[in-house]
Amino acid sequence: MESLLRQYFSDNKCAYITANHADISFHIGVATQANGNFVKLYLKLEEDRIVDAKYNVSGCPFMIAITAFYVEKIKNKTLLEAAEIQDFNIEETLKLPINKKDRLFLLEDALKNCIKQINRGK
Amino acid sequence: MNSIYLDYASSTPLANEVVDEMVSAISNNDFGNPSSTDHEYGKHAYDLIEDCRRDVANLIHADQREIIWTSGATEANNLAILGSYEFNLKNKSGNIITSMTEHKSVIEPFKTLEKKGLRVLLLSPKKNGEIDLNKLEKTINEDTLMVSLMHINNETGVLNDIESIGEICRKKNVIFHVDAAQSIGKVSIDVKKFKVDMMSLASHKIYGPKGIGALYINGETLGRIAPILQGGGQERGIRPGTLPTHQIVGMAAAFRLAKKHMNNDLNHITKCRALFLKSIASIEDAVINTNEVSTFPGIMSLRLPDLDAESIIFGMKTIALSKGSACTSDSDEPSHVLKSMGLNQEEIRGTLRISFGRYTTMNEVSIAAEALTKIVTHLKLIKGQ
Repeated sequence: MESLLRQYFSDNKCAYITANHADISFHIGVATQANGNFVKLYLKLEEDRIVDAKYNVSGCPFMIAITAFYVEKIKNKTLLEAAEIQDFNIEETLKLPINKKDRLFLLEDALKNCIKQINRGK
Repeated sequence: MNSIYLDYASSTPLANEVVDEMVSAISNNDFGNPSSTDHEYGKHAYDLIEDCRRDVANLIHADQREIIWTSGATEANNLAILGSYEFNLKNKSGNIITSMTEHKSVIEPFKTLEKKGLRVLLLSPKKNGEIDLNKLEKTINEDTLMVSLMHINNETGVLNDIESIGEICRKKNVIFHVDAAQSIGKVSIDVKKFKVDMMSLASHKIYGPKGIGALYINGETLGRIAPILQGGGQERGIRPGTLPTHQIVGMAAAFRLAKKHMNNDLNHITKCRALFLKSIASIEDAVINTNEVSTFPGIMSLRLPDLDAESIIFGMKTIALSKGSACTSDSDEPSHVLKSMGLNQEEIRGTLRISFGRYTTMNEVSIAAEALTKIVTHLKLIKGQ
Protein backbone atom coordinates (compact mmCIF):
# COMPACT_ATOMS: atom_id res chain seq x y z
CA MET A 1 0.00 0.00 0.00
CA GLU A 2 1.31 3.42 -0.87
CA SER A 3 2.07 5.52 2.16
CA LEU A 4 -0.09 8.54 2.84
CA LEU A 5 3.01 10.65 2.48
CA ARG A 6 3.48 9.42 -1.07
CA GLN A 7 -0.22 9.79 -1.85
CA TYR A 8 -0.31 13.43 -0.80
CA PHE A 9 3.05 14.07 -2.47
CA SER A 10 1.68 12.82 -5.80
CA ASP A 11 -1.66 14.60 -5.41
CA ASN A 12 -2.40 17.66 -7.49
CA LYS A 13 -6.16 18.05 -7.33
CA CYS A 14 -5.95 21.17 -5.12
CA ALA A 15 -2.96 22.71 -6.93
CA TYR A 16 -3.56 26.23 -8.16
CA ILE A 17 -3.21 26.37 -11.93
CA THR A 18 -3.36 29.86 -13.40
CA ALA A 19 -4.98 28.70 -16.63
CA ASN A 20 -7.87 27.06 -14.75
CA HIS A 21 -8.34 29.26 -11.69
CA ALA A 22 -7.39 32.80 -12.70
CA ASP A 23 -11.01 33.94 -12.78
CA ILE A 24 -11.71 32.88 -9.16
CA SER A 25 -11.17 35.55 -6.56
CA PHE A 26 -8.77 34.08 -3.98
CA HIS A 27 -7.11 35.60 -0.95
CA ILE A 28 -3.41 34.79 -1.09
CA GLY A 29 -0.81 34.08 1.60
CA VAL A 30 2.83 33.30 0.86
CA ALA A 31 5.67 32.01 3.03
CA THR A 32 9.22 31.04 2.11
CA GLN A 33 12.11 29.47 3.93
CA ALA A 34 15.83 30.03 3.40
CA ASN A 35 16.26 26.36 2.45
CA GLY A 36 14.13 26.90 -0.65
CA ASN A 37 10.80 25.63 0.66
CA PHE A 38 7.97 27.80 -0.54
CA VAL A 39 4.20 27.70 -0.14
CA LYS A 40 1.43 29.90 -1.51
CA LEU A 41 -2.13 29.46 -0.25
CA TYR A 42 -5.18 30.57 -2.22
CA LEU A 43 -8.33 30.83 -0.09
CA LYS A 44 -11.84 31.57 -1.29
CA LEU A 45 -13.97 32.86 1.55
CA GLU A 46 -17.65 33.24 2.27
CA GLU A 47 -17.86 35.32 5.43
CA ASP A 48 -15.02 33.80 7.48
CA ARG A 49 -15.43 30.32 6.09
CA ILE A 50 -12.97 28.83 3.59
CA VAL A 51 -15.17 27.44 0.81
CA ASP A 52 -12.32 26.60 -1.54
CA ALA A 53 -8.57 26.32 -1.08
CA LYS A 54 -5.68 25.81 -3.50
CA TYR A 55 -1.91 25.87 -3.19
CA ASN A 56 1.38 26.16 -4.95
CA VAL A 57 4.31 24.54 -3.24
CA SER A 58 7.96 23.77 -3.80
CA GLY A 59 10.43 21.98 -1.58
CA CYS A 60 11.14 18.62 -0.07
CA PRO A 61 8.68 15.70 -0.27
CA PHE A 62 7.40 16.45 3.25
CA MET A 63 6.72 20.09 2.41
CA ILE A 64 4.74 19.05 -0.64
CA ALA A 65 2.78 16.29 1.08
CA ILE A 66 1.83 18.29 4.19
CA THR A 67 0.67 21.20 2.04
CA ALA A 68 -1.66 18.98 0.00
CA PHE A 69 -2.94 17.41 3.24
CA TYR A 70 -3.40 20.76 4.98
CA VAL A 71 -5.29 22.38 2.13
CA GLU A 72 -7.69 19.46 2.07
CA LYS A 73 -8.24 19.84 5.83
CA ILE A 74 -8.91 23.59 5.94
CA LYS A 75 -11.73 23.50 3.44
CA ASN A 76 -15.08 24.36 5.03
CA LYS A 77 -13.36 25.59 8.18
CA THR A 78 -13.38 29.16 9.43
CA LEU A 79 -10.10 31.08 9.36
CA LEU A 80 -9.91 30.74 13.12
CA GLU A 81 -10.38 26.97 12.95
CA ALA A 82 -7.79 26.72 10.17
CA ALA A 83 -5.26 28.59 12.30
CA GLU A 84 -5.44 25.77 14.86
CA ILE A 85 -3.07 23.71 12.75
CA GLN A 86 -2.17 21.35 15.58
CA ASP A 87 -5.74 20.01 15.51
CA PHE A 88 -5.09 18.38 12.12
CA ASN A 89 -2.62 15.75 13.36
CA ILE A 90 -0.42 16.33 10.32
CA GLU A 91 2.74 15.10 12.01
CA GLU A 92 1.19 11.84 13.17
CA THR A 93 -0.77 11.16 9.99
CA LEU A 94 2.14 11.71 7.62
CA LYS A 95 4.80 10.43 10.04
CA LEU A 96 6.78 13.65 9.80
CA PRO A 97 10.38 13.24 11.03
CA ILE A 98 11.35 15.59 13.83
CA ASN A 99 13.80 17.57 11.65
CA LYS A 100 11.03 18.31 9.13
CA LYS A 101 8.57 19.84 11.59
CA ASP A 102 9.57 23.37 10.64
CA ARG A 103 7.60 22.77 7.43
CA LEU A 104 4.43 23.14 9.50
CA PHE A 105 5.49 26.64 10.59
CA LEU A 106 5.71 27.60 6.97
CA LEU A 107 2.06 26.65 6.45
CA GLU A 108 1.10 28.56 9.59
CA ASP A 109 3.00 31.59 8.30
CA ALA A 110 1.33 31.40 4.90
CA LEU A 111 -2.10 31.32 6.56
CA LYS A 112 -1.21 34.17 8.92
CA ASN A 113 0.01 36.25 5.99
CA CYS A 114 -3.23 35.51 4.19
CA ILE A 115 -5.30 36.58 7.21
CA LYS A 116 -3.25 39.79 7.44
CA GLN A 117 -4.07 40.56 3.81
CA ILE A 118 -7.74 39.90 4.43
CA ASN A 119 -7.81 42.15 7.52
CA ARG A 120 -6.03 44.91 5.63
CA GLY A 121 -8.69 44.73 2.94
CA LYS A 122 -11.55 45.06 5.40
CA MET B 1 13.74 -2.48 -3.33
CA ASN B 2 14.25 0.00 -6.13
CA SER B 3 14.05 -1.72 -9.46
CA ILE B 4 16.32 0.41 -11.64
CA TYR B 5 19.81 1.22 -10.43
CA LEU B 6 21.35 4.44 -11.75
CA ASP B 7 23.81 5.12 -8.96
CA TYR B 8 26.92 3.34 -10.25
CA ALA B 9 29.14 6.20 -9.04
CA SER B 10 28.12 5.33 -5.50
CA SER B 11 28.78 1.62 -5.80
CA THR B 12 28.38 -1.17 -8.34
CA PRO B 13 26.95 -4.67 -8.11
CA LEU B 14 29.54 -7.44 -8.03
CA ALA B 15 30.21 -9.00 -11.43
CA ASN B 16 29.21 -12.69 -11.50
CA GLU B 17 32.79 -13.65 -12.36
CA VAL B 18 33.96 -11.75 -9.27
CA VAL B 19 31.45 -13.54 -7.04
CA ASP B 20 32.56 -16.93 -8.38
CA GLU B 21 36.22 -16.25 -7.69
CA MET B 22 35.51 -14.85 -4.25
CA VAL B 23 33.32 -17.81 -3.31
CA SER B 24 36.03 -20.15 -4.46
CA ALA B 25 38.67 -18.25 -2.43
CA ILE B 26 36.50 -18.21 0.66
CA SER B 27 35.44 -21.85 0.50
CA ASN B 28 38.64 -23.57 -0.60
CA ASN B 29 41.90 -24.00 1.22
CA ASP B 30 42.77 -20.37 0.70
CA PHE B 31 42.16 -19.41 4.30
CA GLY B 32 45.79 -19.50 5.40
CA ASN B 33 47.36 -16.31 6.66
CA PRO B 34 49.38 -14.98 3.72
CA SER B 35 52.04 -13.86 6.17
CA SER B 36 52.42 -17.40 7.55
CA THR B 37 54.64 -18.66 4.77
CA ASP B 38 56.19 -21.40 6.91
CA HIS B 39 53.47 -23.77 5.74
CA GLU B 40 51.60 -24.58 2.55
CA TYR B 41 48.35 -22.89 3.60
CA GLY B 42 50.09 -19.57 4.11
CA LYS B 43 52.24 -19.97 1.01
CA HIS B 44 49.19 -20.71 -1.11
CA ALA B 45 47.39 -17.56 0.10
CA TYR B 46 50.59 -15.56 -0.38
CA ASP B 47 50.96 -16.75 -3.98
CA LEU B 48 47.31 -16.02 -4.70
CA ILE B 49 47.68 -12.47 -3.38
CA GLU B 50 50.86 -11.85 -5.35
CA ASP B 51 49.06 -12.96 -8.55
CA CYS B 52 46.30 -10.49 -7.70
CA ARG B 53 48.84 -7.75 -7.04
CA ARG B 54 50.22 -8.32 -10.54
CA ASP B 55 46.71 -8.08 -12.07
CA VAL B 56 45.98 -4.82 -10.24
CA ALA B 57 49.37 -3.39 -11.24
CA ASN B 58 48.76 -4.42 -14.87
CA LEU B 59 45.67 -2.25 -15.20
CA ILE B 60 47.66 0.91 -14.44
CA HIS B 61 50.93 -0.19 -16.10
CA ALA B 62 52.74 -0.38 -12.78
CA ASP B 63 55.13 -2.88 -11.27
CA GLN B 64 53.45 -5.26 -8.83
CA ARG B 65 55.89 -4.20 -6.09
CA GLU B 66 54.34 -0.74 -6.29
CA ILE B 67 50.90 -1.87 -5.07
CA ILE B 68 49.99 -1.66 -1.36
CA TRP B 69 46.66 -3.17 -0.33
CA THR B 70 44.34 -1.01 1.76
CA SER B 71 40.75 -1.25 2.97
CA GLY B 72 39.58 1.04 0.18
CA ALA B 73 40.24 4.34 -1.51
CA THR B 74 39.52 6.36 1.64
CA GLU B 75 42.33 4.60 3.46
CA ALA B 76 44.58 4.85 0.40
CA ASN B 77 44.03 8.63 0.29
CA ASN B 78 44.73 8.92 4.01
CA LEU B 79 47.85 6.76 3.73
CA ALA B 80 49.22 8.72 0.78
CA ILE B 81 48.72 12.11 2.42
CA LEU B 82 49.26 11.42 6.12
CA GLY B 83 51.94 8.79 5.38
CA SER B 84 53.98 11.29 3.32
CA TYR B 85 53.70 13.76 6.15
CA GLU B 86 54.76 11.21 8.75
CA PHE B 87 57.75 10.14 6.73
CA ASN B 88 59.34 13.47 5.93
CA LEU B 89 56.98 16.36 5.26
CA LYS B 90 56.70 16.95 8.99
CA ASN B 91 60.32 18.05 9.03
CA LYS B 92 59.64 20.67 6.40
CA SER B 93 57.68 23.87 6.20
CA GLY B 94 55.80 24.60 3.06
CA ASN B 95 52.51 24.19 1.27
CA ILE B 96 50.42 21.34 -0.05
CA ILE B 97 47.92 21.81 -2.84
CA THR B 98 44.56 20.23 -3.55
CA SER B 99 41.22 21.30 -5.00
CA MET B 100 37.87 22.20 -3.48
CA THR B 101 36.28 19.50 -5.64
CA GLU B 102 38.16 16.63 -4.00
CA HIS B 103 36.57 13.83 -2.03
CA LYS B 104 36.34 14.36 1.73
CA SER B 105 38.94 11.62 2.25
CA VAL B 106 41.49 13.96 0.67
CA ILE B 107 40.19 17.27 2.04
CA GLU B 108 39.99 16.05 5.65
CA PRO B 109 43.61 14.73 5.81
CA PHE B 110 44.70 18.03 4.25
CA LYS B 111 42.88 19.87 7.04
CA THR B 112 44.71 17.68 9.56
CA LEU B 113 48.05 18.64 8.04
CA GLU B 114 47.03 22.30 8.11
CA LYS B 115 46.53 21.98 11.86
CA LYS B 116 50.01 20.45 12.08
CA GLY B 117 51.51 23.52 10.45
CA LEU B 118 51.59 22.98 6.68
CA ARG B 119 49.94 25.61 4.51
CA VAL B 120 47.02 24.22 2.50
CA LEU B 121 46.34 25.86 -0.84
CA LEU B 122 42.90 24.98 -2.16
CA LEU B 123 42.40 25.47 -5.87
CA SER B 124 38.94 26.53 -6.98
CA PRO B 125 37.91 24.83 -10.21
CA LYS B 126 36.80 26.48 -13.40
CA LYS B 127 33.06 27.06 -13.77
CA ASN B 128 32.75 23.65 -15.48
CA GLY B 129 34.51 21.87 -12.62
CA GLU B 130 37.87 21.32 -14.34
CA ILE B 131 41.20 22.13 -12.71
CA ASP B 132 42.74 25.19 -14.32
CA LEU B 133 46.23 24.06 -15.33
CA ASN B 134 47.59 27.60 -15.56
CA LYS B 135 46.31 28.36 -12.10
CA LEU B 136 47.88 25.14 -10.77
CA GLU B 137 51.22 25.96 -12.36
CA LYS B 138 51.15 29.46 -10.86
CA THR B 139 50.13 28.15 -7.43
CA ILE B 140 53.00 25.65 -7.19
CA ASN B 141 56.04 27.45 -5.82
CA GLU B 142 59.39 26.40 -4.37
CA ASP B 143 57.73 25.66 -1.01
CA THR B 144 55.20 23.22 -2.49
CA LEU B 145 55.61 19.72 -1.12
CA MET B 146 52.68 17.79 -2.55
CA VAL B 147 49.76 18.07 -4.97
CA SER B 148 46.72 15.82 -4.65
CA LEU B 149 44.08 15.96 -7.39
CA MET B 150 41.45 13.45 -8.44
CA HIS B 151 41.07 11.87 -11.87
CA ILE B 152 37.26 11.63 -12.27
CA ASN B 153 35.09 13.64 -9.91
CA ASN B 154 32.57 11.52 -8.03
CA GLU B 155 29.75 14.07 -8.13
CA THR B 156 30.10 15.65 -11.54
CA GLY B 157 32.06 13.18 -13.66
CA VAL B 158 34.60 15.88 -14.55
CA LEU B 159 37.71 14.24 -15.98
CA ASN B 160 40.89 16.06 -15.02
CA ASP B 161 43.87 16.11 -17.36
CA ILE B 162 46.09 14.02 -15.11
CA GLU B 163 48.81 13.68 -17.73
CA SER B 164 49.30 17.45 -17.97
CA ILE B 165 49.09 17.86 -14.18
CA GLY B 166 51.67 15.08 -13.77
CA GLU B 167 53.95 16.86 -16.23
CA ILE B 168 53.70 20.11 -14.25
CA CYS B 169 54.35 18.40 -10.90
CA ARG B 170 57.31 16.40 -12.19
CA LYS B 171 58.81 19.54 -13.72
CA LYS B 172 58.49 21.30 -10.38
CA ASN B 173 59.68 18.22 -8.46
CA VAL B 174 56.53 18.00 -6.34
CA ILE B 175 54.93 14.75 -5.10
CA PHE B 176 51.77 14.09 -7.11
CA HIS B 177 48.97 11.98 -5.65
CA VAL B 178 45.85 11.06 -7.63
CA ASP B 179 42.56 9.79 -6.23
CA ALA B 180 41.48 7.44 -9.02
CA ALA B 181 38.59 5.79 -7.12
CA GLN B 182 36.10 6.74 -9.84
CA SER B 183 38.31 6.31 -12.89
CA ILE B 184 40.09 3.03 -12.30
CA GLY B 185 38.95 0.41 -14.79
CA LYS B 186 36.76 2.91 -16.63
CA VAL B 187 39.33 4.94 -18.53
CA SER B 188 42.85 4.04 -19.51
CA ILE B 189 45.51 4.81 -16.88
CA ASP B 190 49.26 4.61 -17.28
CA VAL B 191 50.98 5.77 -14.12
CA LYS B 192 54.37 6.06 -15.78
CA LYS B 193 53.05 8.11 -18.70
CA PHE B 194 50.96 10.25 -16.33
CA LYS B 195 53.99 10.81 -14.06
CA VAL B 196 52.01 9.93 -10.96
CA ASP B 197 53.79 9.30 -7.64
CA MET B 198 50.84 7.83 -5.76
CA MET B 199 47.40 6.72 -6.88
CA SER B 200 44.45 5.55 -4.78
CA LEU B 201 42.44 2.67 -6.22
CA ALA B 202 39.00 1.37 -5.28
CA SER B 203 37.34 -1.94 -6.10
CA HIS B 204 33.63 -1.46 -5.44
CA LYS B 205 33.16 1.20 -8.13
CA ILE B 206 34.19 -1.30 -10.79
CA TYR B 207 32.12 -4.39 -9.95
CA GLY B 208 34.47 -5.62 -7.23
CA PRO B 209 33.85 -5.99 -3.49
CA LYS B 210 33.74 -3.23 -0.89
CA GLY B 211 36.32 -3.16 1.88
CA ILE B 212 39.36 -3.49 -0.36
CA GLY B 213 41.43 -1.00 -2.31
CA ALA B 214 45.04 -0.20 -2.99
CA LEU B 215 47.58 2.56 -3.06
CA TYR B 216 50.02 2.64 -5.94
CA ILE B 217 53.33 4.07 -4.80
CA ASN B 218 55.85 4.80 -7.52
CA GLY B 219 59.10 2.86 -6.98
CA GLU B 220 60.98 6.10 -6.48
CA THR B 221 58.48 7.40 -3.95
CA LEU B 222 58.22 4.07 -2.17
CA GLY B 223 59.96 4.25 1.15
CA ARG B 224 59.00 7.87 1.51
CA ILE B 225 55.73 6.85 3.15
CA ALA B 226 55.39 5.97 6.82
CA PRO B 227 52.54 3.76 8.03
CA ILE B 228 49.53 5.40 9.62
CA LEU B 229 48.54 2.19 11.44
CA GLN B 230 50.77 0.33 13.85
CA GLY B 231 51.05 -3.45 13.79
CA GLY B 232 52.88 -6.27 12.06
CA GLY B 233 55.16 -5.75 9.12
CA GLN B 234 52.71 -6.60 6.33
CA GLU B 235 52.93 -4.72 3.05
CA ARG B 236 56.58 -3.93 3.75
CA GLY B 237 55.63 -2.22 6.95
CA ILE B 238 53.63 0.45 5.12
CA ARG B 239 50.20 -1.01 5.84
CA PRO B 240 50.11 -3.54 8.66
CA GLY B 241 47.18 -5.91 9.09
CA THR B 242 46.37 -9.43 7.88
CA LEU B 243 45.46 -9.32 4.21
CA PRO B 244 41.89 -10.39 3.31
CA THR B 245 42.59 -12.97 0.61
CA HIS B 246 39.03 -13.30 -0.73
CA GLN B 247 38.58 -9.52 -0.96
CA ILE B 248 41.84 -9.17 -2.84
CA VAL B 249 40.86 -12.03 -5.16
CA GLY B 250 37.60 -10.18 -5.85
CA MET B 251 39.34 -6.89 -6.57
CA ALA B 252 41.84 -8.52 -8.94
CA ALA B 253 39.04 -10.38 -10.76
CA ALA B 254 37.16 -7.10 -11.17
CA PHE B 255 40.30 -5.38 -12.49
CA ARG B 256 40.96 -8.16 -15.02
CA LEU B 257 37.36 -7.87 -16.22
CA ALA B 258 37.65 -4.07 -16.36
CA LYS B 259 40.66 -4.36 -18.62
CA LYS B 260 38.75 -6.71 -20.90
CA HIS B 261 35.52 -4.67 -20.96
CA MET B 262 36.86 -1.11 -20.77
CA ASN B 263 36.13 -0.09 -24.36
CA ASN B 264 32.75 -1.83 -24.45
CA ASP B 265 31.78 -0.36 -21.08
CA LEU B 266 32.72 3.13 -22.21
CA ASN B 267 30.79 2.78 -25.48
CA HIS B 268 27.79 1.41 -23.63
CA ILE B 269 27.55 4.17 -21.03
CA THR B 270 28.11 6.79 -23.73
CA LYS B 271 25.04 5.39 -25.49
CA CYS B 272 23.08 5.31 -22.21
CA ARG B 273 23.90 8.97 -21.58
CA ALA B 274 22.95 10.01 -25.12
CA LEU B 275 19.64 8.13 -24.96
CA PHE B 276 18.82 9.59 -21.55
CA LEU B 277 19.49 13.16 -22.70
CA LYS B 278 17.47 12.61 -25.89
CA SER B 279 14.59 11.16 -23.88
CA ILE B 280 14.39 14.10 -21.47
CA ALA B 281 14.55 16.69 -24.26
CA SER B 282 11.06 17.91 -23.37
CA ILE B 283 12.43 19.23 -20.05
CA GLU B 284 13.73 22.34 -21.75
CA ASP B 285 15.35 23.96 -18.73
CA ALA B 286 17.42 20.93 -17.65
CA VAL B 287 21.13 21.79 -17.54
CA ILE B 288 24.26 19.66 -17.21
CA ASN B 289 26.65 21.26 -14.74
CA THR B 290 29.79 20.28 -16.65
CA ASN B 291 31.29 20.44 -20.14
CA GLU B 292 30.40 17.34 -22.14
CA VAL B 293 33.90 17.08 -23.65
CA SER B 294 35.73 16.90 -20.33
CA THR B 295 33.17 14.72 -18.54
CA PHE B 296 33.24 10.98 -18.05
CA PRO B 297 29.91 9.87 -19.64
CA GLY B 298 29.06 7.48 -16.80
CA ILE B 299 28.33 10.30 -14.34
CA MET B 300 25.83 13.05 -15.05
CA SER B 301 25.32 16.08 -12.83
CA LEU B 302 21.91 17.25 -13.98
CA ARG B 303 20.29 20.45 -12.76
CA LEU B 304 16.57 21.10 -12.80
CA PRO B 305 16.32 24.81 -12.06
CA ASP B 306 13.93 25.85 -9.29
CA LEU B 307 13.09 22.29 -8.27
CA ASP B 308 14.19 20.27 -5.26
CA ALA B 309 16.29 17.19 -6.09
CA GLU B 310 15.05 15.47 -2.94
CA SER B 311 11.49 15.61 -4.24
CA ILE B 312 12.54 14.48 -7.71
CA ILE B 313 14.29 11.44 -6.22
CA PHE B 314 11.34 10.71 -3.94
CA GLY B 315 8.99 10.93 -6.92
CA MET B 316 11.10 8.53 -9.00
CA LYS B 317 10.58 5.88 -6.38
CA THR B 318 11.51 2.82 -8.46
CA ILE B 319 14.72 4.38 -9.65
CA ALA B 320 17.88 4.61 -7.54
CA LEU B 321 19.80 7.81 -8.07
CA SER B 322 21.28 10.41 -5.77
CA LYS B 323 21.51 14.06 -4.90
CA GLY B 324 25.29 14.17 -4.79
CA SER B 325 28.01 11.98 -3.49
CA ALA B 326 26.88 9.07 -1.33
CA CYS B 327 29.49 10.04 1.22
CA THR B 328 27.82 13.37 1.96
CA SER B 329 24.17 12.83 1.03
CA ASP B 330 23.25 11.99 4.63
CA SER B 331 23.94 15.57 5.60
CA ASP B 332 21.80 18.54 4.69
CA GLU B 333 24.88 20.55 3.81
CA PRO B 334 25.01 21.59 0.17
CA SER B 335 27.62 19.85 -1.95
CA HIS B 336 31.07 21.44 -1.52
CA VAL B 337 31.94 20.35 -5.06
CA LEU B 338 29.05 22.15 -6.75
CA LYS B 339 29.51 25.14 -4.46
CA SER B 340 33.14 25.48 -5.51
CA MET B 341 32.02 25.48 -9.16
CA GLY B 342 30.08 28.66 -8.39
CA LEU B 343 26.59 27.17 -8.21
CA ASN B 344 24.26 28.91 -5.78
CA GLN B 345 22.20 27.14 -3.09
CA GLU B 346 19.16 26.94 -5.32
CA GLU B 347 21.11 25.44 -8.22
CA ILE B 348 22.73 22.91 -5.91
CA ARG B 349 19.34 21.97 -4.47
CA GLY B 350 18.06 21.21 -7.96
CA THR B 351 21.00 18.97 -8.90
CA LEU B 352 20.78 15.20 -9.32
CA ARG B 353 23.56 12.70 -9.90
CA ILE B 354 22.66 9.99 -12.38
CA SER B 355 25.30 7.36 -13.10
CA PHE B 356 25.24 4.54 -15.63
CA GLY B 357 27.18 1.29 -15.69
CA ARG B 358 27.90 -2.01 -17.36
CA TYR B 359 24.54 -3.54 -16.44
CA THR B 360 22.30 -0.57 -17.26
CA THR B 361 19.93 -1.48 -20.10
CA MET B 362 18.59 0.90 -22.73
CA ASN B 363 15.09 0.02 -21.57
CA GLU B 364 15.98 1.10 -18.03
CA VAL B 365 17.38 4.36 -19.37
CA SER B 366 14.11 5.03 -21.23
CA ILE B 367 11.98 4.21 -18.18
CA ALA B 368 14.10 6.46 -15.96
CA ALA B 369 13.97 9.34 -18.44
CA GLU B 370 10.20 8.98 -18.67
CA ALA B 371 9.89 8.92 -14.87
CA LEU B 372 12.04 12.03 -14.58
CA THR B 373 9.96 13.87 -17.18
CA LYS B 374 6.78 12.88 -15.35
CA ILE B 375 7.93 13.98 -11.88
CA VAL B 376 9.34 17.26 -13.21
CA THR B 377 5.98 17.99 -14.86
CA HIS B 378 4.19 17.24 -11.58
CA LEU B 379 6.52 19.38 -9.47
CA LYS B 380 6.26 22.29 -11.90
CA LEU B 381 2.49 22.03 -11.94
CA ILE B 382 2.11 22.14 -8.17
CA LYS B 383 4.68 24.91 -7.99
CA GLY B 384 2.55 26.94 -10.39
CA GLN B 385 5.16 27.13 -13.14
